[in-house]
Amino acid sequence: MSIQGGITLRNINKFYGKNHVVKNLDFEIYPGEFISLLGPSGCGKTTILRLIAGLEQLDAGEIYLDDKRIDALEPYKRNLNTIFQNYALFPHMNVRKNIEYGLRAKWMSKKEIKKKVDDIIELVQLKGFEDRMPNQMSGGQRQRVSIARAIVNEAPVVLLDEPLTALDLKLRKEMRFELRRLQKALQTTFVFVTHDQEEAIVMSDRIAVMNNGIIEQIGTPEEIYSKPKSQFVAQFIGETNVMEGMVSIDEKGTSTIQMEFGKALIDIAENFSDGELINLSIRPDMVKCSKEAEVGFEIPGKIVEEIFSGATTKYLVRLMNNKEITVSRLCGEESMKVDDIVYLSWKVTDATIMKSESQMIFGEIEGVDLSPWNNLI
Amino acid sequence: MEKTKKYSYGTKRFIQFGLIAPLVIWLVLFLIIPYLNLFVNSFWTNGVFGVQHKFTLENYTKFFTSGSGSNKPIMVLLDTLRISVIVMICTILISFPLVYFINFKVKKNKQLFYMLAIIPLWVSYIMRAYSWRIILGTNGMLNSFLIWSGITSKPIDAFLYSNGSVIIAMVHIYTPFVLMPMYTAMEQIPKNLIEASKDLGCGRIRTFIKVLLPLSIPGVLTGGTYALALSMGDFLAPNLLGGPTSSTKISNIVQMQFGTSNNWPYGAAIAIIIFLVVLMIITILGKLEKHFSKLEEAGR
Repeated sequence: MSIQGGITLRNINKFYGKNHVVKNLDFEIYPGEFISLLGPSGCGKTTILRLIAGLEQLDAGEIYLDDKRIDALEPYKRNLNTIFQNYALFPHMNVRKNIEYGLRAKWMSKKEIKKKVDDIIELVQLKGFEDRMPNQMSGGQRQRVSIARAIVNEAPVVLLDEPLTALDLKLRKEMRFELRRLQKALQTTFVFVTHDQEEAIVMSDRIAVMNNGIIEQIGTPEEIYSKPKSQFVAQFIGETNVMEGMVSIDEKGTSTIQMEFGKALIDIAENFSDGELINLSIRPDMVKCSKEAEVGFEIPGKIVEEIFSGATTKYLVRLMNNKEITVSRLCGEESMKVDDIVYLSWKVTDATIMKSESQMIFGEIEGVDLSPWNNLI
Repeated sequence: MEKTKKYSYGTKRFIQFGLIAPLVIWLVLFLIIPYLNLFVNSFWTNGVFGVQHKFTLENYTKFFTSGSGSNKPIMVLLDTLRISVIVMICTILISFPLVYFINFKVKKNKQLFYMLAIIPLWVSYIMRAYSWRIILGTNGMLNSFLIWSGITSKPIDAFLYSNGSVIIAMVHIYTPFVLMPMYTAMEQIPKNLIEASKDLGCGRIRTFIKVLLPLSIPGVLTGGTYALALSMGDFLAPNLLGGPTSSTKISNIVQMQFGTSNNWPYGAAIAIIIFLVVLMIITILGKLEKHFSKLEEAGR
């Protein structure tokens, strides 16, 4: 039996009044995968979920569940279930009644319903709570009920609308793994909407990073983290330093980026021409600090602040134009202290280079003059 | 004295008392004292030369024994109760679909529709009751229409001065009172419960029966209580619109005792009995409502 639960979205569009909230999206959700729609609030991620669920109507485009077109169907005719943000448990029904709600709509036999509900209650560890009303349960328990209510129907697709946001941090972290384990066990497609990048990275097979109604990038968490395709993705996922500069290629074919505060080597595999404006993004943990400038790099700076944050320590390095770069180190890895003068560098392949979106033009920089810096200190 | 000094316990209590005093005084003067007065009065003896301050239970026994057949006060009370229940049911049946429509089907201008529904409250009670005389009377609008359209040749008298006309007027007058609490209650039902129900495979009708209806009960009960209590105490509508046999509702009997019959103790006794019956009904409905709304709160 082939796994079911693939969703295909074809050029979908949605307007709220004049607001174009979903802009001509075209992508596929693979059967049995855990995909996250990640983005800031208002980026259209929840709207997409609601469009798939049928709680909103498409303005243009097509949605397929496996081979069946579903975008014109009523929500109750679509073979998928949703886990809502605030659980949306029926307050007048106990746990068992809540969970069997979907099965009852299918006119299943009482015996069969009881067996399924018992199994699922076992699975979400709610044994003994069958007769409780929702108001007699904690947030975490209610969340389990809402999960059970959705997965008991054995639909090939489960949609999750920020289901963990209402929980406290510790519980949230536990539930991440629990949801992931559940998804693996059931082999069901999970479409998970979140604004929490950590959540998305920990749980997903693939992440679709959204911004302003479009998908900026779709790929595995590793791809998204290490090879962001746009400045937005780089900044939204994890922390990053973005630098702006101009490509300069010398006669030997070495490419460098010339910036206000220095220069750095860039990967020649990137196809940029001489004089082009680019953005370079580098993660804090990829930046090296040394006493001497490395070959091809000339970025001096002064450590102005040391921030201890658990497993890592962050340093703020102020550059010559007063821009600050974040560098992070595992604790005790290297000894750096405030007021040290350091030279920054990194492995060229660790940096991500994007076409600059700004039109800023600045004059050519011939080497780096350290004198203004010396005056400062 | 320091300006930042906090109020002492006594001062605090004094201020608190000052804030609730107007309400307490109002309730004592215009509710509690009159009721006590009524209660005390119901045990005095009515004599030829006015009320004699002599204790008796006769007023109460008279209520259950006097008269015969449907003229017995106890029968009138039951009849009034019956009419009130009919009014309650009718107002609920009218309000519920309307509230449902405004809440779930109207996308824009909800407030406008709501205002339109309660606008009748802006017209005085007498006007609204009287307008039904104009509509249902022998030469009224309804009869004129029926004659004009040829359905009847002679005006029909039966429309006015019957239980029917009393019920119609009361339903019209009390519907806004039922509608308001019902609207507030239904507005608070989380929309995502309805979405969840549809998502779990239930169509409109099943969702309505399984989710919406049970969660609307508190609002329905509150609204119904208003209609019932108000129509139990109404003596104007029966007076203006009721017929010779049906115009007498329990409140009319009370009114008569304080007026033409001039038997205040008896009137007071009946008033106390009505008070207890209505109090009992309200308590039961209130208990039910509390039970249902407790469940509802939990879901949020």
